[in-house]
Amino acid sequence: MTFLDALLSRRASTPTEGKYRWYAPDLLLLPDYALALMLKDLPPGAPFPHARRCLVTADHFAPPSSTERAEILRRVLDRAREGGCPARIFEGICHQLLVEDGRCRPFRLVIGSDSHSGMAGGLGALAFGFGSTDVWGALVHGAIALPPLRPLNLRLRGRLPGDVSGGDLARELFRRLGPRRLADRWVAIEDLEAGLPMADRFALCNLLTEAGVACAVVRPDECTRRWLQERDGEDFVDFDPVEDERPRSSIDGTMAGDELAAGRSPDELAALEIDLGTLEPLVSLPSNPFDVSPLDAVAGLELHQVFLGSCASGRLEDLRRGARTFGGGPVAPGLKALLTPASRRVWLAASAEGLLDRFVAGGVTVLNPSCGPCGAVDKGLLAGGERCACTLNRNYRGRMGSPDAEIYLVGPSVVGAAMRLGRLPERKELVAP
Amino acid sequence: MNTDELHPSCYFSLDPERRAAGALGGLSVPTPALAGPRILVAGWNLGIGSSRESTLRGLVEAGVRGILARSCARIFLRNAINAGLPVGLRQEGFPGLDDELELQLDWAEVTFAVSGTARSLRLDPLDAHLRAVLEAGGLVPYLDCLSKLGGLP
Repeated sequence: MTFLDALLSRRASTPTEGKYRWYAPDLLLLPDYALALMLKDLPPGAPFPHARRCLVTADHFAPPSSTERAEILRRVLDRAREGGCPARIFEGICHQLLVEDGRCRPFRLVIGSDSHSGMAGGLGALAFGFGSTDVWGALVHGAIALPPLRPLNLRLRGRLPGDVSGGDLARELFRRLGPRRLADRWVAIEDLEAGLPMADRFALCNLLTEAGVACAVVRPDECTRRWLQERDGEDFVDFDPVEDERPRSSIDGTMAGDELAAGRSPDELAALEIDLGTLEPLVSLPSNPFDVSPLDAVAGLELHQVFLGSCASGRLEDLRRGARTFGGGPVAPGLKALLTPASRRVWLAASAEGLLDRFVAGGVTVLNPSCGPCGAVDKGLLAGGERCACTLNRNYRGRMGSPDAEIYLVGPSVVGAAMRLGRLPERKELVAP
Repeated sequence: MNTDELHPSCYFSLDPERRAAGALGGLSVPTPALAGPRILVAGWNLGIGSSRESTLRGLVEAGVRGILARSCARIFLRNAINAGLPVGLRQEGFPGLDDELELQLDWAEVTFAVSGTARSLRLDPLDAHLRAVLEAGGLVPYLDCLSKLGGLP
């Protein structure tokens, strides 16, 4: 049993022909490219039946860098306006705007038409990433079919060391479990000693997408409460505690009696406990998030580009960590150094602390809040043979341009030091210079 | 095999020809010709990575008519079913099912001939809901029909 069982059983649902069940989501995230893919199935000009539950973002084509993408964005902006949910234009990466949205709250069912929408699980939302047609179904018909609950308890103890990030925790899980053991699991995360800051909870839930999880939800606690109070100010509304002791509902996705259990291992992982204090900075080597190495094993590798940002690690806390190990720079000679704050709000907050000026004065190129080079969507792509250290969530071949580029996924402290050094640092170098 | 290999993001487009051109475009080997009805046969975790449906559309527009895999990544499986693309899953894989063989695929099994001898491999059962969506031709016709019948919450 996990707290997810309790949350799910509170929600109204109706059966399907099989073990999936229909739920009515509370909040729908539609980034630009995904709404573009839905256009063919949306009657022209008609309001969205569930517009008030939508968040539409222009964040991938932000701003569009080709005529084709400008044409697509124009259609998306017009359709969103006609639909009754005008798009947020170039305000930030969709998942960051999602968690900054007052409607995104603990226990709400949040679905996004982008794979990393599960990041909202960091604040305790039941958050799932889907393709565009699934979210179309929720937009037009108000329903999404969720698969059977397959819970996995992840219990965290201790405190995260200062030079380690939520991304490193994800990489540790990848290292221990490999690419298949978390597939389709609903990961119920309990930070028992409040040792994982909110920025790292978001990074963890974001990166767990790469393991094919159904969702990853951090049980909301006092840390969540304080974060929501800061986000919502006067509009803050507290959340109810989760009750653990609930009778099993009819939603039973566990092994007994489940037709889909064919082939599942009888000792399928049910729980995992990690002491945050034992974590170290880790690196996902090119070109697979699951190819994980300790940082020191690859220290010294010369870099051509570094990038701090993306939905995985573009929050204020990530910029602070990068700034700490960057100091005043300067950027190493010949190195391309890029940074994207994940949203306008993060940009302004970082600016108020002088962080952006520090980076810029040191030679870093600060880009507008958007996906940027991640996913080879926009500027900052890599040539064949180039090596980049960055805070992205996936590093498959071609992820940032040339399939012959090498992408190393690291935490923000590592990127900050790498900006100065022009190479991957050793762990002992992850300090203020 | 991840979505960046199946369909590099630069082939994202609302133009079917552009999308089709990107099918299997991220492989580190020369892209095989997909023309003619094709079944894509893969191992574990097919389609891990991005949720973008342009990947599925590009594969279909290039000639893919079905998928066989040991397992599919969660979002990719849903995207394929939602697009009405038949998916057959088999944890034990597809021994003997080599390139260019002609095969027949139904809900229960895949059948093909090796050196004149017919072989068939039983598929793992799909959830009845996923099967219903496939039978309707995808999620759009399925939901349009279901909503008229009053079957949604």
